[in-house]
Amino acid sequence: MISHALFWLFCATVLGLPLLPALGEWWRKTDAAPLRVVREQDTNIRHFAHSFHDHVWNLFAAEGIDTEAPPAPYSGQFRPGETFLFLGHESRPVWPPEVATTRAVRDVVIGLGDLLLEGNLVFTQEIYCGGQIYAGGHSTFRAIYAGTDLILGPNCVVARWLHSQGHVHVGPDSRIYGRVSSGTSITLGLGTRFERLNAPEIRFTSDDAVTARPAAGGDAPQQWWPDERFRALDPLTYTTRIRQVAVPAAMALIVSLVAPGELVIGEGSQVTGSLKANGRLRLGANCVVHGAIVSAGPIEIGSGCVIKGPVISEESIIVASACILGTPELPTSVTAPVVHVAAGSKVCGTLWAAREGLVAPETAMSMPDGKVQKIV
Amino acid sequence: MNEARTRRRPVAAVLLLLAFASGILLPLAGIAAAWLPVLAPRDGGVPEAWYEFLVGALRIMLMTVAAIVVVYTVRHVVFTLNRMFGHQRHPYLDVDTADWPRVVVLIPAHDEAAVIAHALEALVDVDYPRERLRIMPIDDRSTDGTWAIITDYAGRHPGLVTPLKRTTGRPGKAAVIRDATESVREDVIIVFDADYVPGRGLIKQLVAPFFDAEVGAVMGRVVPHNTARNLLTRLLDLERAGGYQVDQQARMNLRLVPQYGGSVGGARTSALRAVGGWRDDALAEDTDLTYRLLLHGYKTVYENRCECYEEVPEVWQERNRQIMRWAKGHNQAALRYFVPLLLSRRLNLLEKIDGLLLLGVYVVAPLLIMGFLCAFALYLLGERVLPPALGIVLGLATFSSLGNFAAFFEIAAALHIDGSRHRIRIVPLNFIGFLVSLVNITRACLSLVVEDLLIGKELRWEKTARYRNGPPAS
Repeated sequence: MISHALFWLFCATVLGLPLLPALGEWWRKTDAAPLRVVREQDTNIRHFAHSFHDHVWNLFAAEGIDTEAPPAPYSGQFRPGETFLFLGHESRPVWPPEVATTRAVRDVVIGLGDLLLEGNLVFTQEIYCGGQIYAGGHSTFRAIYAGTDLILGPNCVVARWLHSQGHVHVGPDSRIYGRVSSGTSITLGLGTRFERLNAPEIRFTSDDAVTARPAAGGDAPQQWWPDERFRALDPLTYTTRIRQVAVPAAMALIVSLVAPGELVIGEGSQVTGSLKANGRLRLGANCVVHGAIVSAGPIEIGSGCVIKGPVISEESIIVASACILGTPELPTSVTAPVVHVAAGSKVCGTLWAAREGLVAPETAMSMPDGKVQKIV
Repeated sequence: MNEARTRRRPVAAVLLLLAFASGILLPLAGIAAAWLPVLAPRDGGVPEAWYEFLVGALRIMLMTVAAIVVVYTVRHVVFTLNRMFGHQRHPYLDVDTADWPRVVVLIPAHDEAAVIAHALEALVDVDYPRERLRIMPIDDRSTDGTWAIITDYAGRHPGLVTPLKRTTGRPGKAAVIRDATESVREDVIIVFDADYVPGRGLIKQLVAPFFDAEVGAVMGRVVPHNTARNLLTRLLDLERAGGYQVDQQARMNLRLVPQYGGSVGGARTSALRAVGGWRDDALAEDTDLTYRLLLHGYKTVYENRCECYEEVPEVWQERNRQIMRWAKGHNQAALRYFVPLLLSRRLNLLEKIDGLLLLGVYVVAPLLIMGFLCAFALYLLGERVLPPALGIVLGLATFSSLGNFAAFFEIAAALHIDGSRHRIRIVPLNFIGFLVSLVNITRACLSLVVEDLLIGKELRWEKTARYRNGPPAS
């Protein structure tokens, strides 16, 4: 009798124990709120810059600072532990004495006019600049907001973000982690590594002349139409079971093409629709694509190509020189874990290299057989 | 009014009924044989051959159920491990700048006065280019103030909100969006239920995958907002988290068959027309479309970051109706597409396997009940079901799934990924939801076979009740 009772007690305990926390949570509702779904910072590249701008302007309001007639430079704090250095219209800040030895500025720096920052400094907090900012090379920044232009010297490191209402210029061999946005344009020097960029024009190296060479040759491209090996997904989209699809050079495609494996478009071709490959997608030199290019594998874009739609790869995108992706009127997105862009190309819109972005040396791409060589 | 009837399939119905009957009657016969001495062969009640047949049949049935359960257990575990430790695919997430295609947002509404204003308010505020966007709320014979709310928004946003009122034709969401689609000239159709409240960037995020020429449909994540109401809403919150955060995303990661869910999602108009448009004779037009697109060569994409609030049922009767409707519609699609999927030469092996398993998810419940009965009958008959080693393996796997542990694992992983704190504690109570679903899905399966396939009963769409008093917090 006792053994039976103990057995049942044991069973009830084993079964009931896991339910005790459940019953407690059901009763107390300590974590019953709906999941938050607003993720503005994910979709808006300027989210952090705008938040910081608002943060600084809230300080101006709280401190009674007249931005037209600011007070003399002084130090203060947003809240305990978050100090700032207000510079007013001073363009050459006078740092606290310890900076001379540590080379580290530990305050949020706030200037209303232009700022000239010497090189070889580490800024552990954000910088707000109402005008232009010129920063010397070999410096490390957490984040910078500039009212007009933002110019960084070579070998700089940015940990979180850069934003300028004007032009952003980043010197060669810099490393920009996080986001860079501009209302006008961004120029990245050779060897610079980046993650996420957004501007009406993004140039690689300081060369102003970026010229694409679309559809070389005087003859009008010959029209290419899918043959019997292709099947229509819809009237303007064709697919096939061929693992390697190669479109010859100088063709005009008026359809979208979906390839189950590799897709190669010969140089000088013009594509009215979009291209999709589930393997490598290679675009010969001087092609024009009006739609999007999407691949589950790597995308290689030959020199002088013009692509108007988004370029999306799940592996990597390699863009040769003199390419134009997007237009100022119709900006686009270029996104892949790895994006290498040759000097001399231009992207209008957003470029996001989730793992590694690099401004690569300009390399002429030779594609005598329609094949694209890696440029890095 | 037109009548929508399911197509009668008497042969299929009789075969399924036979399977059902044998799955239930044989174990019952076994239980009876154990309890009634007159039916036991050793008492001379029935011939030995009959007893051996009964035990053999029960063993085969139990092993079959156990094998199926093992397959689904492995599926759950693979999905969960993939979601926690595998490579996560979000290839279209970062497309935020583009020459966006023209989009129409369809919002079918029948007596939705309590909620539709919140949906419209959110939609007119989205960051999609105005000249490329059209919002089409469709009032299907509402008797409350739905039409007045819709026309008010149309008046305040001319050109952007272009309402449609239906007074005739088949009732139901599928028929509504089918009718509305006839006049659509836009490139992409997005569908929202009237109780859904999209965020500002949601339309762009949902449309971005359509730059991929292979994508036919896209599905976002549904997040309940009335979670704190009672135990049911909390359990449904867990279920949704597991279903979307782990199950759908894992299928996306593994390039399998993510499912279009009918709301917070959409389809490419040309793809939709290429596969024959929406089917208004399908109870689960979303599942139906997923499979037609798949068989045609299009992919469905799941966008985990396209999150949108919805209301979940707050009373068990409503939940029972909902799960029965889903089960019936899903099984209807299973009957339609099981064989075509099996025979398709356009799909790879993994897509086929996942597609078939997805089609079968609502068949597992009646199979489990049959498995329970078989195991019980064999136990009473004193039979050793399986060889010891295999028995341990299958027994553990069966326990894991009968106890729904694999699905619980999925839910717990989803909560972990979502960063939830204490709600994981409530996971064991999901056993209640599991048992309720088990019964209701089995009822839905029987209803599909008897009422729809055998008799050809008229289809009825049952509207989900709304509980909201104010806009959901964001």
